[in-house]
Amino acid sequence: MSRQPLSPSPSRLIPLLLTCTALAGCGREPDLVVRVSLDQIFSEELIREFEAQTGLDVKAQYDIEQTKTVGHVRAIIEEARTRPRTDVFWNNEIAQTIRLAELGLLQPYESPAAADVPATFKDPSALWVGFGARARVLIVNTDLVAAGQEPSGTLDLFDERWRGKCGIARPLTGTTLTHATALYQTMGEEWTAGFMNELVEANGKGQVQILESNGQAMKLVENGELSWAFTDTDDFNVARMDGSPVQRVYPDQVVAKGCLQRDGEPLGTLLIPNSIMLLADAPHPENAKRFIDWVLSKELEERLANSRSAQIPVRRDVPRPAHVGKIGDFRAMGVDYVTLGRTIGERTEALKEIFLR
Amino acid sequence: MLSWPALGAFMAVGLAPLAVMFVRLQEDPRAIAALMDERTLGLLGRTTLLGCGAALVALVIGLPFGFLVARTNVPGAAALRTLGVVPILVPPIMLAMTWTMVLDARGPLMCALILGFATFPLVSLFTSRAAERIDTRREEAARLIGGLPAVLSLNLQLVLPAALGGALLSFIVAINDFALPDYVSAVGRKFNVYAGEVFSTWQVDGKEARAVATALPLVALTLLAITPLLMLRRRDQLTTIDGDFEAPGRIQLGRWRSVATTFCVLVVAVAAILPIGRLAYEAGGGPRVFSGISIRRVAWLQGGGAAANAPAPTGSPAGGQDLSKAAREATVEKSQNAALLSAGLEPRAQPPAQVAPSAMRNRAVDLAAPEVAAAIAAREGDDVSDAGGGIPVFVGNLRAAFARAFELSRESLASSLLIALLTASICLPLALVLGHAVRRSRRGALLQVASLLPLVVPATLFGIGTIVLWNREFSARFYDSQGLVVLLFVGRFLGIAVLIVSGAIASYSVRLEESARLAGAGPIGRLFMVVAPGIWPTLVGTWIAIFALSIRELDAAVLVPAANDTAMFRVFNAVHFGRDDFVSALALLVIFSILLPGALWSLFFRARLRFLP
Repeated sequence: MSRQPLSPSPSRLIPLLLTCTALAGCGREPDLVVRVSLDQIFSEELIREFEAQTGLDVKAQYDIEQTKTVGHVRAIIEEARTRPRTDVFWNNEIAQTIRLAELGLLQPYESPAAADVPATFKDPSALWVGFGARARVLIVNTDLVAAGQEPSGTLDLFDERWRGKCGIARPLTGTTLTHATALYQTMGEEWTAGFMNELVEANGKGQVQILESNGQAMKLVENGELSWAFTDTDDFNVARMDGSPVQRVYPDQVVAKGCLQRDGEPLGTLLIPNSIMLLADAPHPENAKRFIDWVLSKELEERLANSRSAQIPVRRDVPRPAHVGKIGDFRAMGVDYVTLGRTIGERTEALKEIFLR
Repeated sequence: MLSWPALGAFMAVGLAPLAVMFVRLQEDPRAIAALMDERTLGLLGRTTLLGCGAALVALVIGLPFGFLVARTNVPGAAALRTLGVVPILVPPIMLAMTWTMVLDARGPLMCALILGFATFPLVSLFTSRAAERIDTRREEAARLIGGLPAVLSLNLQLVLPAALGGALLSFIVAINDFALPDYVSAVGRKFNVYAGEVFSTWQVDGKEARAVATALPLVALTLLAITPLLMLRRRDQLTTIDGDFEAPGRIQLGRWRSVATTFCVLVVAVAAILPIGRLAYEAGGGPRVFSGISIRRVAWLQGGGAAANAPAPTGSPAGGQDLSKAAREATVEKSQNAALLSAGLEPRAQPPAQVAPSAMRNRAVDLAAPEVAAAIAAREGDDVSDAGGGIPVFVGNLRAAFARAFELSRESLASSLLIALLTASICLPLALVLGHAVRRSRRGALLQVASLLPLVVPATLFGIGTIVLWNREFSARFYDSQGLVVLLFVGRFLGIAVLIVSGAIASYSVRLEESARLAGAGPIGRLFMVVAPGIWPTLVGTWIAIFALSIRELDAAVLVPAANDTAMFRVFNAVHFGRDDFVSALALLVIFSILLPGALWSLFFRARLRFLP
């Protein structure tokens, strides 16, 4: 079969393709624009359910693990400079929320659904509300660590018996960055800077593994490459549900050699709540409020507790399965979230100097 | 004249997003100077070394591979050549995940090795094309003088500039990658690269100028690397074609044929088949099916973990168990059997007499406990992926995982395909016009470099630039649509299309264009009716390359609202919490989508696609 040279008329195709692209751009104006950094695998279904219940057309923008919320925050800041288009930001952590509040990009909304949320998890000016939290935990491989021999706290990272078998994600992104910033606040500037430097040195000596992310920490412990590592409760729960031989240890709960202490008391672990907020100049404020009320309901917090991400309800009366911790059953780090959010930028700079060299 | 509208389009979608970002450098005049500290320079030095290492690996593999599959009598050369392109189309992080599962090595050398394997197709593509354009009479002359060694020596000298050009591209890809070094050096001493600095700087607001400035060293390094390549192309030194060219035949390797074949098959196996095979293995629930991991769920539930039932290794410190694979497997095996016995089930491998110790068996087992019941149900119920059972179950799981991945991601896949199709189809005519201008106009070199700028800046910077530019009242609807994603991708990838097409136009006779002009053809007619048909294999190759890049793009797209619906977005969303079989099946579907046009072309057309002149 002989082949004829192609004789296309691409010049005619250009207007056609540009028209197609332009047509693709003629979507209907949504009733609500939401940015969500809680993993799409959980949040997408919830948002579809909200659409079904209310009949509203919701345009949702999700996040991915790689951007660690930064993508959303950057986009919100840039959009606010040109044309505010996002109504609600559902953030799966708290520090970036404070930054947005500091930048004046949020507007107050006192949701009736948040009336029973403890004050610790609410902004005094009603700019944001926290709910369904994660906690920093140690994920421990029970095939490799005998019962009663588990690590107990942060300083176990430097214990010789765990040489090369323990790890923590590099504290430049995500909840590990928030954790490091919280340490600066609770343990003091000098101590924390010394600790972070010691961490890098310990990595150089083969004592501690500095990991890419909490997800990777979970995987390495799950696979038995590490005996234990710092991660978040949601990552731990994924490993648990996959049937891996792992157990959860809340760090720094007792006065012991491996635990951090402040004023003679154990420091406790960091709680990182989800947070939801109404953006300033939101194009659809009434729909946005309906959505916020819906997300802050007890029913939804219970569903988040029962999901694979096993979020810890901030309201004590919200039912939860046995494997989800209860605030009060473990010691939480006493941290001022507003200060934490205000300082995270400068801490990132400091930590970059230490960890990126 | 024709190039002005195309140039205008490129400036609007490619350069304008960069311009609005680089204007911010004015906000902090010291932003660039602040980068010149010891730490930053150290990071840059290390990044350069990584790039050199990756380029060296790519060269060592890609040069012989490209030559052997293009010019010698290696059996299955055409298939090997096609498969050899696959690694550059697979996202590097997927290669890293696979390789670290297979090899225990970590650190900078492993980073360079994986990046080298991921980018060797760039070298082999350049080498293959250069090797095909060596005049047969030159080879005959060499053969008369020194036989096969002389022919190979001649070929090496003639293809080396092209291969080095490919290695420079490998260097560029390597120095811009952040996720892979971070992932691979997770165990052992941390290996930081400059791209990490760029990423973390973007996190700090109020320092936009600094964030933009951090991009400049990588841009400079990239341009420094690409300049020699463009100069070689400009001087036509990447092609060895003569005026009265006679195509060469296949070189007979004689007794070296089997060695060469083994090398080529090994390269393809390691770089292409292994990652895809591993994903398929995961999609079928491999680890669970073949090791019965779900039974470990029972083991874990029965009394505080397997380790409690395992004898403590003699002489080891408390808690410091033996981490060797054999020791881990033995421990798990024992605990599994103990748990199964205690739950009234059959042990898996070892006879009961060897199950140690008995403490677990003495413990009361609550078979009604939800998680124990779930574990037992998973073993016997319809969730076959958790049941163990070997190949039949594996095949069943594979089908189920693909069905689920397709069902949940059908819309995303369709969206990705549509976006990629539009992007490639818009890029192609623009690239034809601009590529022609690159070769035929006085400022072609400048245009070539400018067209590559959107690609060499960090993806975050380009994505935010696009947001700043298009998030306006007049374009509000467009901003929320997939049209913006197409626009973003056209801006980012047009430079690649221009690079490929301009190479093909360089080898197209100017005299034919002049004849057409004398015959009355206008610029549009000459370009689209005379030049385009003459280089159509390259145009198809360009379309496919842009299509593939559009499907796998994520870093810039993640910032743009409408890119939510792409398949790559869904893969990376599922990585965190999705089950491994679902994620692997979805990743394979994406890889299949990337390879689809090239595969269809190979099936239905005899002509080979061309990416190089």
